[in-house]
Amino acid sequence: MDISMPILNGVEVAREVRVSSPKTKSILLTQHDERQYISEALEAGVKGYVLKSQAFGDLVQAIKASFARTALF
Amino acid sequence: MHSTDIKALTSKHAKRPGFGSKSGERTNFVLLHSDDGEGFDIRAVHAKGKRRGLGLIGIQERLNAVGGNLSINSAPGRGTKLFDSDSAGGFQWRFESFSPMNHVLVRQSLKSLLEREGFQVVGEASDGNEAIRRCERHAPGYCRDGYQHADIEWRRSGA
Repeated sequence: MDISMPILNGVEVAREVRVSSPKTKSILLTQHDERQYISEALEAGVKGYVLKSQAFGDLVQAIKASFARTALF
Repeated sequence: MHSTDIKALTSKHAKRPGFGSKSGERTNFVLLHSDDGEGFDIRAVHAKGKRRGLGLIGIQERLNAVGGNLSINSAPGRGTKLFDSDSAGGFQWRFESFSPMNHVLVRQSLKSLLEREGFQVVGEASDGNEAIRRCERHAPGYCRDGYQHADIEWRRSGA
């Protein structure tokens, strides 16, 4: 999530996708690790929160955790 | 990597001052990136192994696919240069900042990563609104977003 982006940020997209495409799970890939962003992501129904610096190790794990209906933060 | 690949990578940012490409007839080329930015510690990047930067992974994978070999010349505070050390010349391009290519390379790197893991990438989006539209259209299993809204949708193969 890049909150400085105009129009819609990642959390807002996830929140909208949860309504418009209920079967789609969202995973955020971001450089932000502040608690505030993670809380907002949880509130928006995000199923995974992966730091960009850890993408190669954690992204696939986050997807598989979502398949198992668990969340990875 | 053929010149068309590089043009595909750079076309979105071709209007940037000092940013462009020129192609030659030969497919061998020198891929040169040169900037005067903050640079980085090459040994530290290599020490991360597969966890190194997504942009570098993207460049390296595309070079390896055509038999090239990425070489990096960088040091903290001394900028960065990237080039194909196997090149015999014939194609050369340069740009002033690494950031314009980053979003494209990040998406390509993630796409490669997911496909290696058995996922099928069914679409990409360049902003949040497009991501929502694509999710509605394709109903993918997952929608990854966040990095400068470089969005990728994917689902498991055969799903």
